[in-house]
Amino acid sequence: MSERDEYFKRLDDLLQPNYEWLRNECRKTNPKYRDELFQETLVRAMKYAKNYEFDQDSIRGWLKVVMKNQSRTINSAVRKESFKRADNVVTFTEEAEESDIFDEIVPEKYWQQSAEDTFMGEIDDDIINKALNSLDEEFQDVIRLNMIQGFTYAEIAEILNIPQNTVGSRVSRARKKLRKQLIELAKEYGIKVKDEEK
Amino acid sequence: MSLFDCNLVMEKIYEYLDQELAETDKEQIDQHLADCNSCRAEFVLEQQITQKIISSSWNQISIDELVQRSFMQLSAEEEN
Repeated sequence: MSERDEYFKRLDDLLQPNYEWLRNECRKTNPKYRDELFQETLVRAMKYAKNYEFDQDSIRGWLKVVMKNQSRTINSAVRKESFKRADNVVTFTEEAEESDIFDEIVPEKYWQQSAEDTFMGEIDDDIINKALNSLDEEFQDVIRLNMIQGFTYAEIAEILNIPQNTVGSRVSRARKKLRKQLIELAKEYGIKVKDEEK
Repeated sequence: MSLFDCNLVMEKIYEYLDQELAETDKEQIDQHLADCNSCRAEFVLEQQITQKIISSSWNQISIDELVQRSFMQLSAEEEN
């Protein structure tokens, strides 16, 4: 093993117990940036671990601080980007006003919670994956951009190079289809679906 | 009373949830939802679907892949 490989292995052994935890923490932030946040945080931790002894008991608290700082760095980069692109078709003004992506558990549009139960409570990750994978690629693409990454219709129009009206109708068709798939799969798995959810 | 009936509200459900609607349309839907239990149930279901999709593992980059990328970034940054 080369010196570098040994050094990387030592870092990996040290940080490995925290990977999953860190990933989950990052997943609570804005879906657009959560992978970047994970990677940046880990790289900072690796650099730190090179010069200092890590204490496994305090490592998570420390990682959390690094993650917060990194989320601010990403935020200011996003703000700069929005400034640069101010005269472009796509404006990120709304995004630029967000104070801190770390505090944004899920995008605002999904905040509204409800106490009412639906069959979705019993839908697990396997069913979600099955339903999404069964959709046409074109629908998977809009679901990724619209539901998971939270891009606006104008942004999606630019990314996919299609008119904004087409985005609206494609989002609508994709999500109706997804919902239909979920209901069908739920029934297949013996999950009770209420009449009004059909 | 909202000027929008259930069909029209359901037609605009995703634009509403994605905050893509003009203020006047949004107000009409808010008014309709205040009175209509069945449409409200539809909106709740759609929101729950969205939450599940966001937190699902579908299309996520795996932890291994992210860790590997981090090591590559570390190598690159240390070379500079």
